[in-house]
Amino acid sequence: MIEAIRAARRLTDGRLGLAGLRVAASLGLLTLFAGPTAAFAHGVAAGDKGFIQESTGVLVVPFAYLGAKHMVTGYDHLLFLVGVIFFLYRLKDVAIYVTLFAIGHSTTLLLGVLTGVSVSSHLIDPIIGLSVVYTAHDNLGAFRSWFGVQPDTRLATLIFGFFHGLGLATKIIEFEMSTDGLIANLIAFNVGVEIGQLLALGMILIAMGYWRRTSAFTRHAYTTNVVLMGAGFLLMGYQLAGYFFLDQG
Amino acid sequence: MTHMNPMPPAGPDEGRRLLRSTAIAAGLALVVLVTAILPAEYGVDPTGIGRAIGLTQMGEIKMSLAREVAALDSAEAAAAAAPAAAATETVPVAADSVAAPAAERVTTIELEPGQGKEVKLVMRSGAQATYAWTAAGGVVNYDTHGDSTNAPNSYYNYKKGTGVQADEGVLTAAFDGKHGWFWRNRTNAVVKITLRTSGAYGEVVSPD
Repeated sequence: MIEAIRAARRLTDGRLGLAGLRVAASLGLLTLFAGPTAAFAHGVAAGDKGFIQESTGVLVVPFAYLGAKHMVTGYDHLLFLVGVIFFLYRLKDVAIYVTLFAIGHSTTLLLGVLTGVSVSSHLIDPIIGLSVVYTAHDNLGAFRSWFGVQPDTRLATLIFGFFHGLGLATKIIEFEMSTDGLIANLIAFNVGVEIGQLLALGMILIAMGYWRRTSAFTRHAYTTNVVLMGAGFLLMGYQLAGYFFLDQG
Repeated sequence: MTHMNPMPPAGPDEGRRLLRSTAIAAGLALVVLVTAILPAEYGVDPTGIGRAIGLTQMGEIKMSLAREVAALDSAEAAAAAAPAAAATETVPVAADSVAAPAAERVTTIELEPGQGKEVKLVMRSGAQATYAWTAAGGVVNYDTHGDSTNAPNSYYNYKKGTGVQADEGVLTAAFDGKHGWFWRNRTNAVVKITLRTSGAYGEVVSPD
């Protein structure tokens, strides 16, 4: 009986819990391709990518700007942040969780770019979608209610931070940054990511602060987290479909 | 646990409610994915709704562009790996002839539906060429631009348009390189382009 429950838990938990992460991680490792990505000249690239391809040398402020822009306009990272701080009322807790997330994504961002190891963004981004689904479930106490356990929320934030960082690294590798001044530019980009995260967090906290003071908050908290789940599922489907139709097609 | 959670304590009812909510969230996500995102992003339309509301057409264009970019990338990769082979593709032109005035030349190309092609003039910086082109059988999107010989990534846009039947003007080369036209046929019929050029350019690089 206990064995059966455990097996069932493994099956369902695998979709959302750490076991799922491990499965996803090994799935990702299977498709890893090592070494720097092909740096052949592309005909034309416009916008940020074009700028990065044309530039060499240390450009601290532009790369910090790009990092901040990526974070503030990256709805996947923002949805995850909303999920993480949803029920965090004390500023100290917000600081702890956001720091854990920052440590997570900075580690893999730097390591990913410097080692030139990247995974198709169509495989990383579904895991980022999964992180949104996971936090929304965690906010609603789903793991306690389904499995009677509360997985460590801080550990989950750190681990999902690793995947968000891998996603960032994949985007930077696609940008084909010049090796001249790479490390300084990368750190500038990373600092920009954190600045962007603080800006986004500030806006989210102000909005949530007002919302929490209304009586409607408790009523709407459940629905909002279900909507977060939906958005996470959608992100997963969108990116996984990209893997099958674009990468494999 | 520092993660404060004012949600009601978890009971069996709450577990079922959560499961139902998760199923609804996943179900709605699936509906949006299948009816809107797959058609609009990847041209995949299992229900036919995407085509009915015009999203599949967008996805198909995106997919064909993605294939062209991939083909271009691998062609460039091959060219970079074997620069000698790439050089033989173009007809060698004596350097002096690049600046010398040329008589009017007529270049014609055919574009299948969805196809894009380029015709370029080899020009020195500041050289001028007069041009006029017309599209027979339909309209085209075009991008008049230059690629520099010296900096592989540099690109200069002279003019752009969509759904156009003809254009004419004078091209003044912004730098040493290949300057010309990219046409794309987004209609359902074959379009024939006739380009007349005269002025200070060397070879005419065309796909046909």
